Amino acid sequence: MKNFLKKNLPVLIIIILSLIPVIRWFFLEPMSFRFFDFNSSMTSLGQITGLLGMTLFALNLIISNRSVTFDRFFSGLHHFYNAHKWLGSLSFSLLLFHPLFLVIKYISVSLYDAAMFLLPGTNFATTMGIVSLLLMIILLSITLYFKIKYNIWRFSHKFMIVAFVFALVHILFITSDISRDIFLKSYILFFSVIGLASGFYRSFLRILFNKDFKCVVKNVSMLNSNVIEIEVEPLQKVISFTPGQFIFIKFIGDGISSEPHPFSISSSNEEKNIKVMVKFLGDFTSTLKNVQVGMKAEIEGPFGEFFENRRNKKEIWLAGGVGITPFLSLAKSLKNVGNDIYLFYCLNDSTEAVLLKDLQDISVKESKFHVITWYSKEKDRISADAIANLTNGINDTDIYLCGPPPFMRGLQSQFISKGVKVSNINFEEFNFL
Amino acid sequence: MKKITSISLFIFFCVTTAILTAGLVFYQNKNNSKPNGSSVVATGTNLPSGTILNIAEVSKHNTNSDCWIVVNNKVYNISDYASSHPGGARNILNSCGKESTQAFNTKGGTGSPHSPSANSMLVKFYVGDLNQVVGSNLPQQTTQTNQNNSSVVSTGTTKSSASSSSSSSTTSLDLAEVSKHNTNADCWIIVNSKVYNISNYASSHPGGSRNILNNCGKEATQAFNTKGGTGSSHSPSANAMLANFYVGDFNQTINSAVQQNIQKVQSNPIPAANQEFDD
Repeated sequence: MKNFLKKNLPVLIIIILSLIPVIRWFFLEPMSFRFFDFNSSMTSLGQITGLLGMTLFALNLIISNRSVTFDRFFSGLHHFYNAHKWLGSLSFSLLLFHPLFLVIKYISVSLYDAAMFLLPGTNFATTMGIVSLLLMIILLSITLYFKIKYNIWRFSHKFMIVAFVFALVHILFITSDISRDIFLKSYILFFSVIGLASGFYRSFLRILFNKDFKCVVKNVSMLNSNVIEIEVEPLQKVISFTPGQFIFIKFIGDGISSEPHPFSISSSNEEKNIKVMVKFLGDFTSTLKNVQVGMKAEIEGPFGEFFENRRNKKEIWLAGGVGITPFLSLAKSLKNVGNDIYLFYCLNDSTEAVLLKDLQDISVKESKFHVITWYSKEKDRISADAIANLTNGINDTDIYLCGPPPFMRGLQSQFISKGVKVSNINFEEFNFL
Repeated sequence: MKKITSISLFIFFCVTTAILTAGLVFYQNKNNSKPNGSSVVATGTNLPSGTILNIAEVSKHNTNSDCWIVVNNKVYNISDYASSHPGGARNILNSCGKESTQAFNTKGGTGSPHSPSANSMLVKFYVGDLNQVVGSNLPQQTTQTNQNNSSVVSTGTTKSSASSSSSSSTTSLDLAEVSKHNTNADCWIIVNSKVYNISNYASSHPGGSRNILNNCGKEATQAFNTKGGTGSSHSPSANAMLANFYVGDFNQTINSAVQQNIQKVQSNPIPAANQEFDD
């Protein structure tokens, strides 16, 4: 129950915050005025969709600024990004229906008036609303339906703030029985100002406050043809983190696009320097071939709660490919563990088994830490049955998964069908790796 | 979630494209058959032959589902529209069955006039001119007697509709008569020697209905000028709104049937803007 609350508290808070204006709206006028015929009911639905959509938009703008605080609040940044996506889609869908419900009353007058209502130019406030919605449609279609480079998408998505400002002008200048209510107006304005201010802070002031860790690249080593390990040294302050956490890192240099990307930390938290492992998968990660010793880097974080709920029970760690990084970090920090820990390092073949030597060295020192490699080209894909056989049963075991999403989902459903409690299965869901 | 967004986007594009296309076609048709401003457009209204569109007739249509208003000496049937009113249904429904020029021109006393598109929308609900004889099978007789009005307005009171049936009765608007209208549902007040029927307004009174209802059937000049003794006077828009509820001068004698056919719009000369509604 406590866990459920902790996991869902942010969503609950968002739902409550977005329902407050709707509740207020219900008490503004008697229902007999709101829903006395078809047209009035449609208009009322239009008002509700507008109100809800705009409140959710404002709340989403606030949480779109990732921070260590939100990371804790949402129990991990992946929950936070999921919430952002979910809220954004919901808000956008509601705002799309807002004019559709409102136009119905004009259809009953004439189709010409209905068409005029949907076109910009009739009055200032409506035009602002239309411009805002059009901008949203363009920007979110890019997000949903076009595969563009991450840095271009990231840049384009920032213009959602412009759409938000247009929408805000729309609600400030539109005349309706909603906009005349000082509570509703102040409520939406309050969250809008916080959202805009936090966006402004993130875009401009953050640099002034020098929140990021300034670092310099100390070492770059190719682990195999596809994976490199980058070691950076923090220049001013030590970055304190717990194993399993990840950081956003930005490299400043030629041939590398300058937006920050998330990577799990692979070094131990006892080392001063931070190490990350990068597999060349996409546009950005491929440019990291150009990282050189001496290059400047900036780190934001750390984020994540992958190993937050360890209970000193038997543990099974399942790493798929480069998903080994958080386990590597934790393995390096192990000291006289009392319970068995089984690390399954799942790869296509032995050429991918980078840093296996390091892990085996640790298992020699730590008698209860077992490293098991699993090459899918030699055997089949790893299964929950195979894992149970190799680890003497999976009852009352904590399971940790990090790897490609199909790998994690597939094993999760197998474990659940074998009777493992959902709460005993932990993910590193941040799949930008 | 992406599915929901995609479905929403799909619906949005289908509906907007359909409306914009249909609107364009409708626009061309509209240009081909421009309605004649002086014709009687009984908007979904079947009137018996020879109905006179006087204030008594209008005041019968004072419910949410059957709502007529008078704006600039023209009668409009806004029954189907009221629910869609951007300014809220309540604000428009308060005017049902009444002379509403002032309310229309000031958006119910807030001061700003309606937009041109609102004006052009209003014309769609045109029933006929005030005091015009209309009817589904009668030739139109537009009476242009608006310029020589006397000073009687009755604001959709039960009195006026009752008296319209007994065409020769006369009533003196003395204190005895006013004091009969002393209930919440039937509330007349006297302000500056003028009698007002505020029955339909009291519930909307920004200062609370109780304060206004205390004065029903009474001389209320003092109360009106001091906002019930608090000292501050009512705003100009409140004054303008009061004019909508004017029944007659104090001690004036109303000959209902004759005089109710004559309508004077409160201190609003018949505007040239009439033309605007006719296009």
